[in-house]
Order: sequence, then structure tokens, then C-alpha cells
Amino acid sequence: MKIDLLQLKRYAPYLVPLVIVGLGWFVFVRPTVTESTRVERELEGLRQRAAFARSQPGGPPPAEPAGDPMKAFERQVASDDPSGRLLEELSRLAARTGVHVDAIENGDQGSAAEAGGPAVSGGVMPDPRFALFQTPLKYSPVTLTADADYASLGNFLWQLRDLATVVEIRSLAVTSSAETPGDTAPAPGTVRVTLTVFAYSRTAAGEGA
Amino acid sequence: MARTRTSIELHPDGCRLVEVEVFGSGSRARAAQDARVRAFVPSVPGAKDAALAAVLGRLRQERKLSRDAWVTVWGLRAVHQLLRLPPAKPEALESIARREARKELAVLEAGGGAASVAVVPGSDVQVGAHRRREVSLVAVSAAEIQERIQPLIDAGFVVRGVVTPALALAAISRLDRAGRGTVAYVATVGLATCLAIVRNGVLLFAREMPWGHQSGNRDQGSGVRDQGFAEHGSGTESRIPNPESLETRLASELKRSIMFFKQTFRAPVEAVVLCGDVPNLRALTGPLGEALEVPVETLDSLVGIDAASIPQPAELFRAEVAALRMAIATGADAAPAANLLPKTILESREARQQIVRFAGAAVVGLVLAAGWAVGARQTLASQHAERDAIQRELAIVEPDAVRQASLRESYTLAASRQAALGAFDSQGPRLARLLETLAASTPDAIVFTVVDVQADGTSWRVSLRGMAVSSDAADAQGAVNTLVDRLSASPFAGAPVTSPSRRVLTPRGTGITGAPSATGLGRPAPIPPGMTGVEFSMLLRVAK
Repeated sequence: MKIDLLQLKRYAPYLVPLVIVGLGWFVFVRPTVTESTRVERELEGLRQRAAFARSQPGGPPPAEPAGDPMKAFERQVASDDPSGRLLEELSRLAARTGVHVDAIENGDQGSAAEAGGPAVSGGVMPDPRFALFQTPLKYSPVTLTADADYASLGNFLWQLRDLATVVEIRSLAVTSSAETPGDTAPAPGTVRVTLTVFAYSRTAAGEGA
Repeated sequence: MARTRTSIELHPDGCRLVEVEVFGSGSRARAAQDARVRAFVPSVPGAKDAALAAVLGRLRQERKLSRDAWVTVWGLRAVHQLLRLPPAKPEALESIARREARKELAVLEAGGGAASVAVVPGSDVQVGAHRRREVSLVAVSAAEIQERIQPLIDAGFVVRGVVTPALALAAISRLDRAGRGTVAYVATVGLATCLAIVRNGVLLFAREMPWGHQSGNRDQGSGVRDQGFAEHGSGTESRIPNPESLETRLASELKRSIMFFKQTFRAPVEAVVLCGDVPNLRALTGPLGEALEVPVETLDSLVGIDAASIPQPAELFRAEVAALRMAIATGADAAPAANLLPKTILESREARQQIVRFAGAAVVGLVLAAGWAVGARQTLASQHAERDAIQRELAIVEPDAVRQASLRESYTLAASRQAALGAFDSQGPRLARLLETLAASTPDAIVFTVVDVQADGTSWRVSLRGMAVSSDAADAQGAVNTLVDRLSASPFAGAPVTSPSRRVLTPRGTGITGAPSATGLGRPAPIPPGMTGVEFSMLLRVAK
């Protein structure tokens, strides 16, 4: 490429500042800007931490809730299969509240998948609040079939607490006599009740799902 | 603010000067305005260099004259030549002209010094079968110019350009708006006279004669150039104006020169224009006009000069305007056609300017770069300061904040667990409340057939199916609506998730068996005769 010296001389006064500014950038400004960028990133993190720290209200820490819910959970949830005791309690409760039980049966014990965990085909997702306790659980389905008048059924459900273990009412079907065909039809004034609960128990250490 | 320039006319025995505003560049700007004179000094005596420098220096400071100066120098050994050159690029014209005039230039360069040459391109003319470019060449000795302008430099002026009186007269012709053809401009001063024949601003012929209106009779008729100016200017009797002898001598010399021009250039002189410091210049027009047989004019009016801003004393300026014409024309021209300032001076100035420009550019670059660097460093410093401040603050407040947040988190978790335990324990009672709410909310006309509850996460999906039976279909519909409203208002039930499905039945319709309808209500229930039934189905979502 041929360089016209005359042209170069003419434009040199304009090129000189550009060259000097360019050199100044490479020698002085760029390292500073690089450092500045690094410090700015560091500052972003610090600002977030400071904002978090400032957002925490001062003064004494909040009051601790009374009791230890984990211990209460461990106390309330049986460590072994509670279905036998539960069947007994349900039978007593039904008799006490005027619910005429046709059958109470328990099913096979299964592992409860934790909420938020991977869904298993055919698996049962328990109430997601069990995940708060971070305890592996097993469940035993218990199904009660009975006839009862409406008030007795209400009474039965009202007293369905403080059982041998924590239960989850999975389903309740109340059917009038008109809807129940054949020999199983309840007597007039009563309803057919099908109640399914999961009786939970803790999994022993090392006993995987 | 207009740019001004001091234009100085150096005579053999002194000088005169004016300060004028420089016209805008371009012929249109020049033609559109009159010359504006800021200050003038009609005569500065002082033949000796040191004395002249001192006087001029004082004048420059007292009157605050512009340092930029153009100088018209009388009495230079000069070569004025009109050349007709073959077509060439403008930048090549000077070298071609120099080659053509090398013999004449050799005379100027005889002592080993350089000649300062100015070339003014003219118009194209047809010479025989060839097209030629007219070029006016003016050359003077560079050493002589340097010697003559030295007092001005010593006085503090920066001499930007030098012209001969003939070139100054050509400058007058360029400012002349009358648009005359070939005109002879004549300037007569005390000890010299200059004739310049000009056409379209191009100098065709020039002659400088060493006699003027103050010359005595002893050199009358000589007109030989190399007699020099030195012998004039001394002796009182030789300075006595002698108009009669001047007009006779001027007419004779002009006639001879115009004749020579006519024979050489085959072109007539159409007019004669007079200027200079001859007293009663106008008195020369009559005799000269008769002798030369062409119109003779004088430049002793304010034509071409801005009369609204003439300098003081105005009367003196009006009286001296003919004498100042050459200085005014040279000073006002933004881009004079010729400049005889030696190239060595121009080049050294150009080099100095280039250095100054480079230095200025370097300073600008350094200032910009330094400013940028300082700005970046200040930004970095402020970032460091902010970082240090935040780190100090964090050192104080963060541990406590983290502890508080951790406590809050654990307490929140504990509270959630407690709430969950309470909810697990109260599922039965909650369903009992739901059944109680259903019983209390159900109008007499409605009978539930199915109540189905299914767990779904932290709530139950409750399906209700039933029938409202009444003698009036509207009453039955109203009963269903009442049920929906009451359930919606109850904290233990809530509004249906979707709009309830309904089916109106009459006793005739209940006998139909077949596929379930779109309502999903299944086989219709029997309706007593004379009554109307509304079967319905709705879905609630109840918290566990």
C-alpha cells in the first residue's frame, strides 16, 4: 500500500490525539477498567448481602414456639405398623358413636413418596405437609365400611382424633340408600359410609423405601 | 469578529499603512462588500531601517494594529512577465513558468541568491492552432525582500505576504466592480511611479519608474530603472512638487508604454486609472486623457470603501484615500493572487506551525488520555471506598442478621410443623364440620344422594350429588341456588370450584333409560307424579 506522506502530514495532527488516547487506553485506562469491572462485580454481591443484613429487623430475636414439633411428630407417628391398634380404636369409636360397621380392613403397607420427589407410577403422594418433618414414612391403608345415620357419622368423624398414629383421611364416600343397589342397601334413614385412611408409621433407620 | 490585517506600503523614503478587515474568501464575498478600513497612517518617515522599525513598532503598539501584515515594496528589482504556456495542471504551472522565464530569473539569481517567484494563472487563449494558458510571472530577489521587510519584522509584525506595486495595482483591479477590459493602473508616489496593465485581474505588463511627483528636474526624461531611488529624496528643492513637469513626463512615459504594450500584445488599453499621493491628482486626468486619447479616472473617492466606517480623522482619510488605495486593496484581499515572500520563510513558518499543531494535538491527546485515566481511577477509588464501607458494615451487622434470619427460618419451620400436626389431628373434626355445614345448608326440597371426598394434596375434593324435588321447577332450581349460596358463605365448605351441573326432570323423563347425559349425573332418579326434580352435581375444594 502506497502511503502519501503529504496526506499523512496533513492528517497527522488529527491522528496524534487518537494515537495518544489509544495508547493511554491500553497502558493506563484498560487495566483500571478491568479492575473496576471486577470490583463492581464484587460490590454487587456485597450490596445484596448488605441489603439483606439491613432488611433484618433489629432487636431481640423472635420468640421460640412452645414445644418441639419434631418430638411431637415422633411421639404421634408410630414407629411400627399401627394398623392393628388403629383397627381396634376405629371399632371402639364406631361402637361408641352408633356407626354400624360392616367391615374394617387394612391393606398392604407401602412407602410414601415425599412431596417434591420423583413421582412413582402407582405410588401414593401423601399430604405434602409430611415433607416438613423430613422423615421417611410408610403408610397402611385402612378401609372402613359402615351404615350410620347422618348424625352418628358426624359424631364418629368428630371424635376421629388422638389415634394410635397420625392418619390421613384419603377418601370418604357417603351414599344414600337410594343410590345403593341390592342387598347392601342401608336401612331407611341411614347412609352407607366408606372411609379410607392412611395410617402412617416411621421407617426405621436403614430401611429404605 | 472580523479578521484584520495591517497592509504596509514601503516607499524609498518611508511608508504608509492601513489596518483593514479581510474580506471573506471567494470572489462573491469580495464583490459583495466594501473594504472596511480600521486605521491608517498616511505617511511614516524614516528611510533608515532602525528608525523605521522603531517608529513602526511604536505605532503598532499605540494603535493596537494587527500583527499580521502584507507589504507592498517599491523599488525592488523585479521581473514581470506574461507567459503563454501549454495546457498543464495548475500545480505544474509554476515549474513550467520558471523554465520559460529562466533567463530573466538568472539575472535575479546572479549573486547566488534565490529568486522569489509568484505565478498568477490567467485565462485560456487561442494562439494560432494551439490553446495556451496566460500566466503572469513576477519574480524578485529573495535576499532583497528579506532585507526590505526586516524593519517590519523588527517592529513586531508578522509578514504574511509581499507584493510589488504592480501586483498591488492588480489587486485594485480585482476589487474594481466596474468590470473594465484592459486597463492601465498608474500609481505615483513621491519618488516613484508604477504602471500596471491588467486584464481580468491578471497582470499583463508592469513598469516601475524611479521618479515621482517629488522628483526634481534633473532626472527628467531618464526613466532608467537602475538609477535607483537613493539619489532622490535628498535636497529640499528636489521635493518641490512640479505638476506641470509630472503630467508631461507621465503622459510621455504612459504613451510610450501603452504603445509598446499595444504592439506586443496586439490589444488596446481601454482606460487609465490613477492613484497615489500626487496632490490634486484629479488635475492630471484632463492632460493625460488628451495625450493618451483614453478615459482617465482617479481613485480619490470612497468608491469600494465602506464610507460608514472610515477611520478618524475622516477628512484626512478622504484626502489620502488615493494614496492608500494600494495598501487597502492588498490588505483586504483574503487570498491575494501572488505572494513574493521567500519560500524559505514560508517553509520555516509552515514547519513551525506544523510543530505547533503537533504539539497542540499531542497536548489534546494527553489531556484526553489523562482525563480518561483519572476518571477511571476515580471511579475505581470510589468503588474501593464503597467496598470497604460495605465490608465494615457487614462485619458489624451481618453475623447478627444471619443469626436472626436463621432463627426466623427455624421458628417458621417449627410453626409450620406445629400447624401441620394440628391439621393432621383435626381432619376428622373438619369433615364432621363439613357434614354439619351440608346438613344445615340444605333446603328441605333437596336430598343428597352421594357425598364423595377424595384427598388431593393439602385439600379434599368434595363431590356432591343430589336432587331438589318440588311441585314447581323454579322452586327446585331456587333450592339448588340457595344451597350453593349457603355453602359459598360457609368457612367449612366454600364456593363450588366449577359451576354446578343441573338436570331438570319430570315424572315422564325419569322413565327413560340409556346413556348418561352430558351433565354426568347418571341415570335419572324417579320423580313422584305431579312433581319436578332438579338433579345437580357440584365440586368443592375443602382444606384438610
